[in-house]
Amino acid sequence: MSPILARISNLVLVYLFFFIKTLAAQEPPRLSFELGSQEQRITLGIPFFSAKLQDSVRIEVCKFYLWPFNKLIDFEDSTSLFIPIQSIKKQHKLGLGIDSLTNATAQMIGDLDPTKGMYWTWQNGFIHIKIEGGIGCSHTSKRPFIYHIGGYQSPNNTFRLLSIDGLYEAQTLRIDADTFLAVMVQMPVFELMSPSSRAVIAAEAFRDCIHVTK
Amino acid sequence: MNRNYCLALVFALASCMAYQGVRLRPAHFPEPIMRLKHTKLNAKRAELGRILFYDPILSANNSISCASCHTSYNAFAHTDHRLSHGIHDSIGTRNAPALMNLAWQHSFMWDGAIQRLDAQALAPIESPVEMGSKLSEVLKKLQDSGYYPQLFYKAYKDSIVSTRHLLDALMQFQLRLISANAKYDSVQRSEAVFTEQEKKGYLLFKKNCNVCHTEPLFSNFSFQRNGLPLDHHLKDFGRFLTTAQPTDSLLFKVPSLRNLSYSYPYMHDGRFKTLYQVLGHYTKANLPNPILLTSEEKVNLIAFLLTLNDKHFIFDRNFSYPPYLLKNK
Repeated sequence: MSPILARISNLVLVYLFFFIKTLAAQEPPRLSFELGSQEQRITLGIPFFSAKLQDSVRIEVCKFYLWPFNKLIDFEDSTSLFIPIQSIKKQHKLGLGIDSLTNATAQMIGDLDPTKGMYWTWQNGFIHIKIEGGIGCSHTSKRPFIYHIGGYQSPNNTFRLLSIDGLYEAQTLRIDADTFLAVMVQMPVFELMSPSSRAVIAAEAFRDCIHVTK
Repeated sequence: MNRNYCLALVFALASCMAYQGVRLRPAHFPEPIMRLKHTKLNAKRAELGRILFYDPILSANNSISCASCHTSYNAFAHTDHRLSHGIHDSIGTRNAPALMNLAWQHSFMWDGAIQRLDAQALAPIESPVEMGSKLSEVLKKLQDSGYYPQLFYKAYKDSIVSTRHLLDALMQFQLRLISANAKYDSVQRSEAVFTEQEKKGYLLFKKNCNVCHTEPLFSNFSFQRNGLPLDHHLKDFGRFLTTAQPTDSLLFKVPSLRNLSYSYPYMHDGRFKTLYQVLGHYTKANLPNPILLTSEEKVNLIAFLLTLNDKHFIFDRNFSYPPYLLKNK
């Protein structure tokens, strides 16, 4: 092989290497979830000022199931906060929680393993949404809240479909914790640990506080 | 020779299938609600479930097993214990129900709070007044035990102790607890006959009790308010605690009447020690629809109820304490 040909073939090889590497690095578009208060992003365990409650709020736990993937979105686990947009487009529907059939028959593996802390052992059924934290900045005035929202039997089925404008074009969905907490505090409910009519209101409030961010 | 051999083989296979059929669904029983053929009943898994059922390793301090409140000699109830006993001498609020014929039931526990047999064990494992444990801790203890990984491998071809396999094994064992060999069952199969007294009792039963305690399972497993006043100490409102529906207040699941001699005391809170006390309640004049029975009729009815005792079930060695635990503990 002549030196010129050898140089050309080397160049082609290098080009191919970088081309393949670039292709591999490109990930399919993903929809991500974030926790927020109005327009600001918030982080678990870090207090933020709630405009609606006019008080300091700290969220310690926030996780929920995304239907029909039976995927646990857990803000404590950053790797869980994404889902390929292609999957959503294929399903046409997104929901919050675990549907009744899955509740009654699903194998308890993966994100549905009860060791994830999202299953009521005393009363069969998955907890659809779990939010825990406290309101108030000083320790003495801190008001803790624990919301374990679930229930799959009528009339307290808390499974809800999401209906969000621009969902299929969205890149990020924000859970507006401020808006959700305002509904709960107004009821007022600070502990929610079992299926009930209040849990249904809470599930709807959670659904309504999810919106697309740019 | 070859033909005989083939015939023998066919006969053996047919016998084996018939045996399985009897074992899984007695001929005079209805189709189970839980489709047994879909649950992949497996002897190795059931045996693992049996070992787990009798092993106190499931409790936080290794003191309480499932069998602590559900012993085989008591039809898997807790004879002579009004309320269930748990970890650190805790006392529950309900009488431990007898475990049998579970594949024919829609839901479990006195209030039907549990709808899946393969998830039922989570309730006692994590209850602070029963086993007081955490599922993740149980899985770790089993994994670290030195012998369970091997047992799980034998049963599931996987030595990792997972939630799914743990719960499945316990379900497999419990699905095998089929009671269908009482005198009543022999009569149904034309292998025995009732005495005159039992016949009279059977007629009374069909007239007064069969609507709720429907034969051959002797329960329709519905939820009923049977007129028992609220125990103000226990404050147990039954199904209401699960559904939060006011109409469900004081509704409890109708228990099966099989094996009554072995599973006293009776009712959800074990308030009655004898069958005469139970009949005394149902014949009380202040109930909306009391059953009217003479003293003789009560005796006859009880004579029939005693034909529902299934000694074969009680003393079935396949259900008792597993020898494996004796050797390995």
